[in-house]
Amino acid sequence: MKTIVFALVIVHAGLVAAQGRGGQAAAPQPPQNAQQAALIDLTGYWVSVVDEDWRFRMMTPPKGDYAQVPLNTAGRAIADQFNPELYGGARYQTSQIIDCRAYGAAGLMHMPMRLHITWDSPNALKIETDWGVQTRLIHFPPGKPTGDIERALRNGEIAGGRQPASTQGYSIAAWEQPFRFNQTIFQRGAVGRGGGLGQNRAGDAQPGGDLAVVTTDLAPGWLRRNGVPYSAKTRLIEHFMTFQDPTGKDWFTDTTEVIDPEYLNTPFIISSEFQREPDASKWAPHPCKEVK
Amino acid sequence: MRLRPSWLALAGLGVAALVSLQPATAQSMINGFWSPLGNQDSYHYLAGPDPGDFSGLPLTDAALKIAQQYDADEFEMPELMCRPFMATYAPRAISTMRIWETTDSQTQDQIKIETTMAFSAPHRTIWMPASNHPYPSASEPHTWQGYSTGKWVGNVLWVHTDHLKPGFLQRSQGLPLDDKTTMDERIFRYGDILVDIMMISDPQYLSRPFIYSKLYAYIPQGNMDPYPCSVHNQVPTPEGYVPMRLPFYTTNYNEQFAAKGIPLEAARGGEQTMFPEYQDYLKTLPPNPPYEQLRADQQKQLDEQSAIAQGKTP
Repeated sequence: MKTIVFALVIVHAGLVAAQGRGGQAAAPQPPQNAQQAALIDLTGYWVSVVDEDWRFRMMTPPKGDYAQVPLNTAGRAIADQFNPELYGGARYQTSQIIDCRAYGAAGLMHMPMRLHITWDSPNALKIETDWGVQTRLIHFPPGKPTGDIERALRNGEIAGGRQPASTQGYSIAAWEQPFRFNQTIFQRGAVGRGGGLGQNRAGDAQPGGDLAVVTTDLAPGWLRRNGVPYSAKTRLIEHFMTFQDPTGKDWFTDTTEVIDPEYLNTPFIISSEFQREPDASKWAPHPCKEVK
Repeated sequence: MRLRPSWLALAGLGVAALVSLQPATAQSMINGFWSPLGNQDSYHYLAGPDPGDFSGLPLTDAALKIAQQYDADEFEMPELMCRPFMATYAPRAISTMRIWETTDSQTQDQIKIETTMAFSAPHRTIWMPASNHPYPSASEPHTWQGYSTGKWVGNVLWVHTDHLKPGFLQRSQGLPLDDKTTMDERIFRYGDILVDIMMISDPQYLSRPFIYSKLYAYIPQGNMDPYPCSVHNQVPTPEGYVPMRLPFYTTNYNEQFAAKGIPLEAARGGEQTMFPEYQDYLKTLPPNPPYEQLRADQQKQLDEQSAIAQGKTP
């Protein structure tokens, strides 16, 4: 009998440890606001590092050069109206006379520039740019700072029409937790309990996460400096993810999906990388131009 | 007190429940077929970028000098026709990728993740911690795919690769990477989009890491054709002929490069071209000469090289 008790005590100890480390951990209190719930730190000064798409970003591409953009016929007709004479004539590609339409939300993050990211309020992240001198406000729904943007989009929970159309539109966001282990469908966050001998890791919290942003209510703008258009029907889906390089420097990437049923045949999907800077010493405002 | 073997086994199970709670190893969210998205930088990875367009690349002077000797006709050399893409280049190519994993049948731990690409069929293995795979010794030959180790940090796969053969940074340009090159990747998935951030470091030929993010879309019913590369003498050349250009000549710009309007100085690259303040400097650069003049200058250089090769003084 003693042997049975001894063995059961050991097994029980194993199960208790399993539950304590992941199975039945007490559910944490929900955070009060998005700032407190932040899964990654995007605040601070950042600089875009441009070693991709250089000629489309650092300078104005030639008129009529829409390479890599799935532009439809209507979109091409508008892009063909770009007039180099308004942007420096023969030198328009390097004049750096940049139309403010190229700094709208759908094209903004791919432009070379520095960013200053701060909390405008506990539920609103502010992104300011030096080139173009733009400000984006990223709104988190009060009381719901975490979620799954893909699922919300599929369920029709996110829609436009909240605000009048503007250059930066209206952005709504959620911190996206890593997917859970051992779920039959992709589900985020750590809840539930372990099974078996503690090897089911469904309840384990994982590090990391990302910021997902959906932007609607946009005024028409440009995807590129040479007048490649997007329409007011555009919806923007972004994912911000931080990472470190081998030397320990902080970076984030912004993956941007531009969905425009008016001028694009398929979504236009790009990404931009930003490296953290220690301070504002290289901040250099360059206002864009309202070219008529 | 005597413990019978069956009770000892039961007690062992309890201990196993304690020790089995190790960090996660089994994740399969990136398995499957992935199609490259062509919205970003794809003109560099189809037929290769224009000769002499190094804009936005953090090159050293040594890299530039080597690139200036490069002749893209080397692709016609039988020895190089079936050269596979190395690990630092293959994920950037416009080519379908397949990712699969191997797990230990007993522990279910992830042992390795493997990838292959449709074009040039490079097969790469990423060894995970549970594999306990030995690191190659310094005397082992470096390979096109190198030696990769990985670990999961949340939903992000971190991969480090070294032990690579000398290769190239971009195709058809002659930009070198040496055998001390390393690559660190962060691979993650949003919905049906896969992001592979590649950070390539080479103390010899890059003044700072080259960072590149490659995007892929998930293919639910993926497929991949075989890639049976074989050598054919498509352009008859004398035996032993090695296409190259003599050192210290300017790059052989083509008409496509000229049409893009990139200032010649910016096209020489260097890390200064990667940052926003370079936009102000671009304004100060002189316009490029007409392509006809560029072509005439280049022809003059070619004539000089030909004269030197024939033992004549130009």
